[in-house]
Amino acid sequence: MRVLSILLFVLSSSSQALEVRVWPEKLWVKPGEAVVLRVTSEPGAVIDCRVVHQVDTVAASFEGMTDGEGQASFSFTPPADWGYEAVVTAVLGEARATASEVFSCAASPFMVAVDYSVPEVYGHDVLPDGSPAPEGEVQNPQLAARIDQQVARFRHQYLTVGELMGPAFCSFSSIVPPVPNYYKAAHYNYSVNAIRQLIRELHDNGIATLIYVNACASGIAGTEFARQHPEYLAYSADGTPFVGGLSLAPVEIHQWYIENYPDSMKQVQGWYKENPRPEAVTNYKPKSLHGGYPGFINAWLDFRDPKLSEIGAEKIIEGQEYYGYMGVRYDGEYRVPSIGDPLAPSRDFRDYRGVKQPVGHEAEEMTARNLNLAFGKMREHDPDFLIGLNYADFRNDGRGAGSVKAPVTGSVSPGVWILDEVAKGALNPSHPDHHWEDFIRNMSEQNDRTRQVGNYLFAGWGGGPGQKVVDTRQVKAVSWACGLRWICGGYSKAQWFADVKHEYNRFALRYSQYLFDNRLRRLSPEEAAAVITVESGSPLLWEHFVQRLGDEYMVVHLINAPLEKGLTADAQPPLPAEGVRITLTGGMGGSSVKLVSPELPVQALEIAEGAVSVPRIENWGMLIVTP
Amino acid sequence: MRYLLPFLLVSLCIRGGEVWSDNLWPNSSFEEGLSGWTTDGGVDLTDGLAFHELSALRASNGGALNFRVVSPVIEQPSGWYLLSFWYRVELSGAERPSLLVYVDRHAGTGARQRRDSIYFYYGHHADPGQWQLTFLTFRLRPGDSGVGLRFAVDSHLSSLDIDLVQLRRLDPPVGEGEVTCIYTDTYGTQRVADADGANGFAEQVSAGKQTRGGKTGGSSRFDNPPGLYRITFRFRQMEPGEATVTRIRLATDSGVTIDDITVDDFAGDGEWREFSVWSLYPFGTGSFPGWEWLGTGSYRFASATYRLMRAVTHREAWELLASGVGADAAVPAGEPLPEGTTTWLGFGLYTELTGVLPALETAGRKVAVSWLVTSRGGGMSLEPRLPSLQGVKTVVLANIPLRALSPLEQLAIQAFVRGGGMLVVTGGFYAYGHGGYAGSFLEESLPVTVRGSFDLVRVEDRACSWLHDLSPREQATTVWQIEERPALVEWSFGKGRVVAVAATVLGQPEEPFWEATAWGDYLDGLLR
Repeated sequence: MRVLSILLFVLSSSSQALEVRVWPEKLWVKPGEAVVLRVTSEPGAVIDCRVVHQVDTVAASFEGMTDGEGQASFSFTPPADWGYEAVVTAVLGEARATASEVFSCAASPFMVAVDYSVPEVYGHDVLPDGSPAPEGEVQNPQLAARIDQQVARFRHQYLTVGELMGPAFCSFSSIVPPVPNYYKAAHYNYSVNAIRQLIRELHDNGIATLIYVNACASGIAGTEFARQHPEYLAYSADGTPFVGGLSLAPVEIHQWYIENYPDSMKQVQGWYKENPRPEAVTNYKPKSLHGGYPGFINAWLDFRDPKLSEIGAEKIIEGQEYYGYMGVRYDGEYRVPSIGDPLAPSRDFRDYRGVKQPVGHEAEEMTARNLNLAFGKMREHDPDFLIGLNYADFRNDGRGAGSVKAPVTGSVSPGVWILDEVAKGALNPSHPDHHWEDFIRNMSEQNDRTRQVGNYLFAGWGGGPGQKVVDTRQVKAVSWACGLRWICGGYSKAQWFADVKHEYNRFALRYSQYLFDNRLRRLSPEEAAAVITVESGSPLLWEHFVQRLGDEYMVVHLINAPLEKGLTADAQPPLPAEGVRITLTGGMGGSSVKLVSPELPVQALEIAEGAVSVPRIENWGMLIVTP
Repeated sequence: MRYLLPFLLVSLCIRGGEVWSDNLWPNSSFEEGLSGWTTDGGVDLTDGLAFHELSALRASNGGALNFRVVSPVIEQPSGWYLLSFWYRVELSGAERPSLLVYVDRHAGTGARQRRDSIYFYYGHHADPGQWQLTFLTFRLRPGDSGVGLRFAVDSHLSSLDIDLVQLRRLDPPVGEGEVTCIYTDTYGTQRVADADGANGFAEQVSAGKQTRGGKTGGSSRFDNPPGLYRITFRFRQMEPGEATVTRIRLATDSGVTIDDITVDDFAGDGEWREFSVWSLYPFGTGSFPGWEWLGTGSYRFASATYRLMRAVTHREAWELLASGVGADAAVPAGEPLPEGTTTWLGFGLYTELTGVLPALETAGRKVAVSWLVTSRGGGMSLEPRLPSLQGVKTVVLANIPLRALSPLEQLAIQAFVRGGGMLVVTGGFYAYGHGGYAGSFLEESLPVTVRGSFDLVRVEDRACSWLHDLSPREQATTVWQIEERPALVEWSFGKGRVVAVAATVLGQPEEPFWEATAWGDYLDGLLR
């Protein structure tokens, strides 16, 4: 367990004489599945391990002693969903040390996904002489190290889902590659050994994997699919295929590479050695191998024939059997009219005869049918198959095209991960989500709709190349309070939040039930005002962040109001709020009020005359009010 | 150099005369001297190297400096104009020099200048040493008094030649013309209605919500034969309230502003306001205009409709811009090929399946290949561009779209065949109707006529599943038919021969013709 050794130093707490560490083998387990808690300390230490869930309920206690190597382990089967914290105390003579670590249990990893990211492992698995490694464990030490780094990053950032970019891209070129070390253009040169090992190690760590696909035809295999099936292509009004691009210059070298594998690979390795930066050399062969796509680049398809969606599903299932991933993330689904990118809602797509594809309800019905067919096929193969969609239409406000989404919304529910990619531009002053006020309203309303049908809302990608970041604590707290998770990290374009990922994500996973439970119902500001009043010396955001889970509990987020009106790079963080007084009314007098915060230990607040006081909110706190 | 082969254009000029005026630019081809043209580099008249007649303007950088070339201001009243000129550059070594052309609309006699800019990038489109045509349409607004040209030349160009500057007034109205209004809206549009209404207005409704100002809009791409079009836009803003749309900018999708409409009283009264623009399509840069709303405030609903009327055809417009010297005369020479090269192959999609490559190999041909790629800006191009066809016996266009060949390059291929060369054209997603051949110079060379876009048809045949639905010309010979449709047609064009293959390698027929011995034998015989 190489990952374990990399991370142990950040997970320990110790006295001068004694150290102890606890490491749940998995970040996420399914209900009924046990998680092994590994404890490391000095040999012969007496170990007390308590597993806490909800706010401070002890779910289990274990006692034991470390063995001659200072190891002990406990097997724990979570009794319910959501976040857990294993708190370990080690005693050796007079010395005493404590440590803790969090993990989760949920039927779907989406439920407890605090963020979402891409583990990028690219490169070929080669032996020292440049020839391909045999099928099995990765032989290339750089690749092996990269896999370890990526798994460690996911553990460090408490991410329960990773997206694999590279092997597939389009779902109509075979996800199973023609040779075990292949190129999908750009920097997506990859090896089957590495992708399989990455998937295996992520799964071993309780991290789910999805394969990225879009609903287009790309590359050599996608271009061949288009040749065989002109009837499935979408055409522009001028009669040409609707494509993101076409490049035939690299076709020859790709075909040569495939036909002459594995000798070709060794030869390519030699070229790289001669010129380690081939991109700087015009017409240099390796540039063609990881430069532009050979053939079509995103040829859009006409999904009026439901057979096409079934073919797409079959390709994804074939890839699952080959690689072992747990699900798929669509960047553009099997939509009528054709659509590769929901951010570019072109409508004038034709078939090969020039007949236009429908729009409106007829199109939505076809899309819903396609998704039902495809998802049904995938879930028939694997009942737990995970599905994500880039489907920003969920943010529609009832006007325009968005108003006809009901059939599709119904067809993709429940359990589907929904990406709102529109939100990624929120730093832009003209963006509809730029102002905090708009951001909170739009995201909360969108999350309400998403939750109502049992799906999960994410937004991405944050940031851009060289872009400065906003006050990430503020964005994360507000987003989570809206029920929104971000996609970030992985791609070089998405580096928001890097600085606070560890501490905030740990907190969010631990208390995920109070953030992401789809049963939570958001109170309108008017409804909220009827049950709670918040007074503070400095402004706090809370009116939009009052949520209830029936009569079980109420969650109130208290977030220091940003100083700027909009999401702004390099904004000054607000000063901590002090002297906060919360009055509970309308039957919410409460028998228990607890404050949890990433900046403070858990506090049980004393209720006096229907009110509680919070001395200080550093940035964000959650009140859990139990009637 | 004086160009030969003048065309007889009588009938075309009569048609054209209904649309445009005579040339209004004085001393159009510099036969009477520089006539007020100035530069901060060196300027002179060429001596016998003009595109038209004897003289052209030649400006040079005089020591690797950026320089400008400025025309005199031509006074004209408000209205729509078509401006064109021929130019030729010589490089000073760099791969991608730039040439920026400003069209200045002058107001009154003062110095108030407004600029519409066109950028020309050399690289993919560079043909150093070749005369090239550019053109634009623009409007002189009420209050404008004239137009001038400025060329900003960077130091990567050693010289710039200009010839045959023409300015023609476009005279509306044009009667009902042949119109197919098909477009693809892009961003910001939410609904489309009546998109196929012949002679009608197609409507785009923008439901953009620019709550803090900015701009939104849509661009349009039309499937119509090449030519000069008058496009009528109608705009209305359907909701009052916060709306403060102040301007509508009409521009080509390469960013060239065609017109800029100031809308002082546009705020949500729901009334239609109509504007007309002219656009020449598809010569080189740009295409049909898109539009965008610009405002300092916000708006919620606005809509635009438009209608196209083709005023003249591609060839009519081309002959006008070539000004009677003969379109065929203006052919580029291209880069020379290695010695002994006998075949130039435009390598399009699925060329490797067609059997052409092994046949060329069998014939012992030395082949130069240009690949079809998506160029910067999203257009299609061949890399490298069409070379000099000196010494070449056969040109193969294997599934190559018209967009990858400039009008000049099509004319070069036409001249090559007239002179005795062989042209082989194969089909696919980017050829014939799907490649935009209808109405083009390339189509003129073919033994078949193209009936428009979307001519791929599915057939039940053991050897071929998809072919283009083409019509053989009278003098052509149909070599092979499938379901009574021509699959292979030949004819003589000038001294040369043209073979049009309508059958394609698309689909999965039981016994693909492209794998059959008979097909290989045919190609071997053709290319031997």
